[in-house]
Amino acid sequence: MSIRVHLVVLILLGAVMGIALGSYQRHKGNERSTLERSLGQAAIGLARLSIAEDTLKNFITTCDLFLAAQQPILQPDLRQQHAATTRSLIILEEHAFTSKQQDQIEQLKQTVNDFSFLLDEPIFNEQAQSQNSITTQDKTESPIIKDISLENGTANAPPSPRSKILGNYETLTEQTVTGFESLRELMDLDYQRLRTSTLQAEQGQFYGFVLSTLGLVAISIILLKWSQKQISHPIMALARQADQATRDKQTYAGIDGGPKEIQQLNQTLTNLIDSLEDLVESRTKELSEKTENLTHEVSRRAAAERDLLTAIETAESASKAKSAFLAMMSHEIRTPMNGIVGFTDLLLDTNLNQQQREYGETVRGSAQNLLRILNDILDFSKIESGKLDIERVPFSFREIVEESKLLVANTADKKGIEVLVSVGEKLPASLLGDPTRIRQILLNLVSNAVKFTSDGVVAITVDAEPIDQTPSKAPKWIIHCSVSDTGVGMSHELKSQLFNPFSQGDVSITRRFGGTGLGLAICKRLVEMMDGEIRVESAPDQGSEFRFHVILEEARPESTPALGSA
Amino acid sequence: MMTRLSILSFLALLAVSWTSEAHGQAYCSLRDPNRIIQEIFPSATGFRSHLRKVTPEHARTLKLELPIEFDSREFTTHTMYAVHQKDTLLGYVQSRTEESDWGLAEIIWILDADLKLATFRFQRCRSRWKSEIETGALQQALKGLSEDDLLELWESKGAKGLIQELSLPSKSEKLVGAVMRSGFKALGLARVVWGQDIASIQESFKQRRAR
Repeated sequence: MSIRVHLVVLILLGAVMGIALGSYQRHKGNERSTLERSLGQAAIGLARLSIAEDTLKNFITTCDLFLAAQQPILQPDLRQQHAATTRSLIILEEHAFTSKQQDQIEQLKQTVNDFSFLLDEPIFNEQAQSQNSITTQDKTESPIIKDISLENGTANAPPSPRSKILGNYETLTEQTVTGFESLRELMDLDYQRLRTSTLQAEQGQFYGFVLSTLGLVAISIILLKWSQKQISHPIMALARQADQATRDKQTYAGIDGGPKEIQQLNQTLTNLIDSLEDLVESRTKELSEKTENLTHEVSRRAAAERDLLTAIETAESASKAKSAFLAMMSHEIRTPMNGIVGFTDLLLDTNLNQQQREYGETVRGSAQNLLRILNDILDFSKIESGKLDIERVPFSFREIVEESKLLVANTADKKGIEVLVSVGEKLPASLLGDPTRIRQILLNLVSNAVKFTSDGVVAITVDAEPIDQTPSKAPKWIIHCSVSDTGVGMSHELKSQLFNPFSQGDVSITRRFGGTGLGLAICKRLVEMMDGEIRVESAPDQGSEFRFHVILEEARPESTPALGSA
Repeated sequence: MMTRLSILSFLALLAVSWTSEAHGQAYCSLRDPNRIIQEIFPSATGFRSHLRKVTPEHARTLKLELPIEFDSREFTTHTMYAVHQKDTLLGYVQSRTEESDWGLAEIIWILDADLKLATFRFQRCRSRWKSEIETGALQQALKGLSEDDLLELWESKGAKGLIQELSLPSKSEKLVGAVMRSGFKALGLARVVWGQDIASIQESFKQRRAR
């Protein structure tokens, strides 16, 4: 049997039980409502009976008083009270709910109706004439004494008509009273019977409800147990099997029996586990292969890295050796070069003819160029080999700027170029640093600007920005410096290679303007050694602007600027 | 409806009380004295009826002494019958009217020659407890009681106590109360209203017996 069928059976059973209990409670409720309605009618009937009794009592009391006092003036009132009694009986009859009560009321109506004939009798309509004499004597306050003898048989005299009517009145009254009391007993009895029945119905409904609820709970528990056995237990067994197979790494065994859906689930689970096992096996195989490949790759790369490191060490060692060699060789070469320049100068101070002088000046120029190249190579080698130290002495940045301007002023004049200088007011008068290297940087940039500008302007701008003004420490400044020109400019490709050593744009530039291509590379290294940075903005035929900054400490007052300490 | 009926009843009672003084002879009297007296006293040879008017003054006097109230209807002429056998006074008979279940109850009281309660019977009583009260233990309990004895009994028991002690129907309290009230009135009125008559009757019969 499938779960769906189980659920349908459960729902149907629940519906049947609900309908049965609902019908039972509805039936009991209707029965109780009917009884309660009847009880209400009986209570109203009893109330109406009390009203009728009161009315009749008033009527009888009035009659009694009337007969005692023989007062004809009250006769209309008697008629009215009689009518009221009859009306109360008619109303009471409307609330009678058994045929016995109706019969009793009908009889009472007849009896009360008989009073109307009695009220027509003369004693209810005539004034008592026989009392007049007594009344007269009453007013005298004297007793009336009358002797009656019983020996002459007066006691056996026939009753007077008045006594006869009075006897009829009493009989009729007694019948009425008896009838009312019988009716009261009957209605009380009916009311009590209905009350008992209503209470029993209430209790029956309550107990029925309790029993129904208990029965419903019991049946629900049985159905629940049945459902558990049919549905929950197979599912739990399935889950246990799967859990055990997972935990103990065993083969999934599955379950036997259970509803159709559970069997399908079991089969699906078995298939899934089989396919998973296949998948795991295949993936494991793939993983093993990839792991093996990866191990090989790692080994290969490790070997390559080792080779690379060895190569780097070798290269660095070779580079250092080369720099050391170059430094040593440059020094060794510069010494004789200074001798050549010096003695050439001495030679040119002697009396030479025109041709000798031209040859001598050419020698001196060539020797100076060679010396400059050697100086550059020497500096670069020192930097590369880590042997260049940056000094830390007081100096005036402003004076270095002025010097640089003066050094290029002659050349600039010859080319018709104007050299402009702008120094910010914030620039401290004295800073701590290496004035030689700063001059080298600035002069290199200004010389290049003049060299690559055919006409126009070369502008040198210097400004300072404080970065650390802690009172306990010496203030630090960023010195911003820019050298711009209106020269040939350069392309993007050229800019990217500009600060590389031995790079000078292209061959045509070297041919046209000369130089080793080491100047800007040295400038870059020097700026970086002073915690700064150098950049260039340029475009072909738009001029260039080189900007660099260095971080320098402000010199204390006791420090004396190293003026012109080149 | 009830209100109207009550008003009408009240007006009726007012009218009766206003007129009863003139026409009230039969208010507290025996309907058929000859027959009734012969039934009570079979050996009686005659009786003398004494008509006296009960006044508010009498009522005020008795109200101070006894646990009774008088209705204005009662301020009218009442009859007391002195019953005799030849020269012997047998006793006194009165009829007293009290409101009870289902209209007025008329109770005939018989007093012995010494003015003690001898017996009572209903001339009219429509209560269902009439028989139990008339023929039961109450009759025996009241027999031979003087005015003081009756007062002592009432003050010690009351209607409820009497019903409980004499095992009377529990719902007969109203009727027992009416009987007790009328008993007090019979004894009290005999003393206050007919006192002089009774004294002269007793003297008269004393003289007759002496002759």
